[in-house]
Amino acid sequence: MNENEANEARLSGWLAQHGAIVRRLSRVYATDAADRQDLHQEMLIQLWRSLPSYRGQARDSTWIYRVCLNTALTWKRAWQRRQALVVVSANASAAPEAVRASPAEIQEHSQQLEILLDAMRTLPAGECSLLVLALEGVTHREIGEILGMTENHVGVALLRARRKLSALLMETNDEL
Amino acid sequence: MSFEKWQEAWREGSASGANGGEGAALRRMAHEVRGKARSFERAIAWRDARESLGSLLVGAVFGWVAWLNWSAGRPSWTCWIAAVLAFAVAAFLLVDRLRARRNVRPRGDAVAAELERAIAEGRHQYWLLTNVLWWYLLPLGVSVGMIALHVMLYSSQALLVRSFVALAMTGATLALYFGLWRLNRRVADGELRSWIVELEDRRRQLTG
Repeated sequence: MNENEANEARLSGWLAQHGAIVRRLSRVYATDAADRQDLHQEMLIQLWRSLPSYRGQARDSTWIYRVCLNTALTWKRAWQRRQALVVVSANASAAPEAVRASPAEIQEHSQQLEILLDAMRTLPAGECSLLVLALEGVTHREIGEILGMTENHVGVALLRARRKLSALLMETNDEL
Repeated sequence: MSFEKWQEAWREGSASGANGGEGAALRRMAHEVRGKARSFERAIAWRDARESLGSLLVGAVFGWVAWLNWSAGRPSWTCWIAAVLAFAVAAFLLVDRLRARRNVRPRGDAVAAELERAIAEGRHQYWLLTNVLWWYLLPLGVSVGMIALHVMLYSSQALLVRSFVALAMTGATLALYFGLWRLNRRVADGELRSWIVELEDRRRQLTG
């Protein structure tokens, strides 16, 4: 197996195990469908380009969060549009998670998710990143490793971000 | 609704229509990503080459004119200076692009460190755009000016024709360069400046 094939195998392994992370992150940082697609593809490309640097120095998920968040936070929409290079058309089957819930539950969760995303997008990008990782269920320690913050700082900043998010969600519910 | 409930909505709600899958489909996707990444790298390399190509061509033409004059025993020092200045600009652009390419490869660093690097790169781009007069316009302008001087000093045409050609060359170059300078300033002070401020804000939010 040559290097490219080995990297392809590793990337498909990552996508099988953590593909949902990439999709969820692209959904947070890009609002419309076209941007979301652009950002998702950009994240996949950056993951591919990061493979030669990956020597197992971090957990796979930590590495993926870092590369994808770095891509999202430094992503220039207009520039990406101009490049218009990437069209990934994977016609893969639905992820196992998708069949866990009933259609009604999925719809309810999707609606809740939209409310959550709308609220999160109004927050500053840094706080948004903290909340994304907390929602993903990542520990404070790992959030610190991903974002480059101390564990204590993560705790304090996350508490502040959660309070802001709660206030925003309450406002939204009032409006609803 | 508790945070745990939102976590559940987060995982389940975004699972629908997933792009995941198993085996062959994922390998095909990885193969496709590899192909697109290669196209991406090629496009970046071509863009970098294109930026230097203009100055390289100008340098080559001026160098060729200088060589023709020198081999015919005519004065050629003005054309040599013109060629060297154009090549110097091309070399500067090439070195800068190569340096930038090394910096853009993802290294899986922590987000705060990556933001720091993006800010540094943004500031460097800002410096390049705001100082475009010194590293690009002036050397190339002097280069064209040297050719105009050559025409003025050594052409066998009538003085009036020589003066007209030299003035036309200088005027056209000045007008073009003024436009380029304005354009660069506008990009630097507009979108690039605000992009750097945005990145600095994001870094501040993370590092406190």
